[in-house]
Amino acid sequence: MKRQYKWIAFLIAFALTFALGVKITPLSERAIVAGLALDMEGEEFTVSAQILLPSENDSKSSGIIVSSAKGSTIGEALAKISSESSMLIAMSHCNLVILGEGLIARNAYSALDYLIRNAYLSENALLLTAEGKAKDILECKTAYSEMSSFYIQRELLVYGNYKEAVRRNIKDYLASYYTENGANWLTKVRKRETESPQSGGNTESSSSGGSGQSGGSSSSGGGSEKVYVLEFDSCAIIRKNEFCFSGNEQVISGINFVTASLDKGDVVVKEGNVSYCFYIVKSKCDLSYSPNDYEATAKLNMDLFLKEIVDPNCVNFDIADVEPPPSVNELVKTYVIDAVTAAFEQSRARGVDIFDLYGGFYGKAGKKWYGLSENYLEKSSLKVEVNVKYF
Amino acid sequence: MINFITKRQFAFVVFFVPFVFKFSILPSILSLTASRDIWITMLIIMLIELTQLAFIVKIDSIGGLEELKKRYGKIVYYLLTVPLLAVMVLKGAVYLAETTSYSNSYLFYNISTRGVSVVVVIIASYVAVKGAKGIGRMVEQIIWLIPIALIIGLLFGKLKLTPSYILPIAVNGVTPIAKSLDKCLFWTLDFTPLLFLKIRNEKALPERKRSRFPWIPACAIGSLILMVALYALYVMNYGGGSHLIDTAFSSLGAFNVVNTEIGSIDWPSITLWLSIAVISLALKIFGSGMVVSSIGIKFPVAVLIVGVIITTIAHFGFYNLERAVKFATGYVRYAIIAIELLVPLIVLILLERETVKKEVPKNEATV
Repeated sequence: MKRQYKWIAFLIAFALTFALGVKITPLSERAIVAGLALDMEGEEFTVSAQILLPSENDSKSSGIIVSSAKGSTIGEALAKISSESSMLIAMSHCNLVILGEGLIARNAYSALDYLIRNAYLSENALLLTAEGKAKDILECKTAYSEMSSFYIQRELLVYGNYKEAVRRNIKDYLASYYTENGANWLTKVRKRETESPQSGGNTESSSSGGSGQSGGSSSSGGGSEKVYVLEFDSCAIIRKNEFCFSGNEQVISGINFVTASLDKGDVVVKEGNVSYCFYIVKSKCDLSYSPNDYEATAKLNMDLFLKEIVDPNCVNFDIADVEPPPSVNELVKTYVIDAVTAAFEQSRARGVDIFDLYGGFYGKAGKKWYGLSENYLEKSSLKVEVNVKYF
Repeated sequence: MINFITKRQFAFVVFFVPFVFKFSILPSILSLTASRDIWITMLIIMLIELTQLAFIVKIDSIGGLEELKKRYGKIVYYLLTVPLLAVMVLKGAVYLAETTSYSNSYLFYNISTRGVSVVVVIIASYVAVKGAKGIGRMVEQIIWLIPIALIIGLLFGKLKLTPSYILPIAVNGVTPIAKSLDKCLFWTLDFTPLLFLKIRNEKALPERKRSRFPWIPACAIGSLILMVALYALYVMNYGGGSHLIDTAFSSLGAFNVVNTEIGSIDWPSITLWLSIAVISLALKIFGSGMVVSSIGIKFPVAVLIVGVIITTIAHFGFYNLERAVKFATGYVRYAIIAIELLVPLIVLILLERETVKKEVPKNEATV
């Protein structure tokens, strides 16, 4: 009798599943988005998606295409891409979102609101901004990878170090947006033309305008095709919906020293003619706050490894025996302190509380902070303490 | 007997039941009012819920609902269990809408909502038909997903927490916490279906087979710590943007996510949540089926009727999660919390009164 129930339940489930029209879309009918670029011109969004094209046998991709469409909302533009390609837009494999300069200058959050609420797109997707149009970055053929989105991900997640890899994802942006000051920062990517080390390629490009027109151009690759290297040596500093300024490598380093746990990258200091290169084994920062004095302290604990010494007067020495002299230790500390101070001061000058001191002071003082918080940023100071251990 | 369950299985159910629907859309709803203090709200909810559990365990130890029916007759039994039936069906419908929305968000693209809810109810009903033993065995198997999810998360995942997001604690007083507590009454007291389970008496077992470990208190305390910790971690992760996340557990699966070039892997957390959601629904259908079958209908038929009613309400009454949430945060929540608090209390008083009157030792009343 019990077995009968089991079979009846299975039969009912299957019958109802088919009867109620549950349709599984085959892989060949899905436009698997690997990267998304969002731009804004006038009042319209331009959404570009780097799509992995399915092949006949479903086992591998037959190429990539960057498809674009305009719309007053992101959903509308994505629907146009879906309609143009006759495929279902699949966002679950999209791990990269690039925001164009125009969008950052206007209101980045208006675009992100849709992405945050879209469960199909992971909130862990990397988020960065582009110098110029985001679409240009997504479309460009890089010297090191056929797909710009994969190249960017590798650079930021695997090989980038603290001077460039500001690893921010949608969730990070959201959490920072809702702090009192709303300070945010995103890696700024730009392209630089370079010699082509590769030949061939199958990148295509198509676009569909807001009026519904579609068309495109395809480039077959070859030696004449331009290839690019992407650079990540600046970052956009944003406050709520306002773009404030572009930070340089020192600002990026300063932000990373305080907000991230580092385990790669070099610190290079010079004393006279001698250059010292240290590898960052580990670096972590703890922030403490004294709201009554408007003072925050960033205490950095760093483990460094002396990797290289360039000394024109000394050529034969065993690097393992060389301890950095105290003066070099001071130079290392100054290097770190300068980076953190640059990030803090340059941001503060534009009203950006880059290290969320408000949150720290408020957390410590509680209700009392309400009476103290007026013009807190101008009154605040950031003390940086660096403890270095050498291996 | 269809409602018999071992002490350990009962304890695992206790551990899992609060976890699933309190950690999906609820944190987002609570964040709107309690903001960074939602973990305090959850602490209060869990304390209320564990009080209900204490009533239920006590009721079970002096005979349970069957004893009530035997001593006071069917009318008293129906007077007390029919309101519970209504509560379990309504909660089942709202939770079904939540499960369907979750499945559509994470597992399928543009799939028919109707189809998903029907399939989920059929699976939950099947588990319910298998009775307490089936539910108990399922939780024993699913509990292994926790270490799997943890190991994968610790090996590959990265969780970036900002502890300062949780501070200061209750800076705006108790009002925001009280308001959030008021909003989430519908999601409180989820142990109600356990009234229909019966913990197997281990005294009949040989000494070596008896469990000395206090499974039920351990799992109840574990559940309280887990829920409060999850809510605190949630705030440390999302800060002021917590109200935008409507699938908390899978989203917190950032801890559990492996980022690759082609996307992210958060299957362990999705599977864990979905499995417990089905068990939780199965418990509600089981409890409802027990009430319906007590009028003389065969238990599987009663379960089928309950399943159809729950699906109908979820689909035609709510259609989507937004409407279900609107319903759950409406005035009906007061009626539901009152029933779920008062019925176990009345049952306990009636059984205790009769027990004292007849001078029946508690141990003998236990099956």
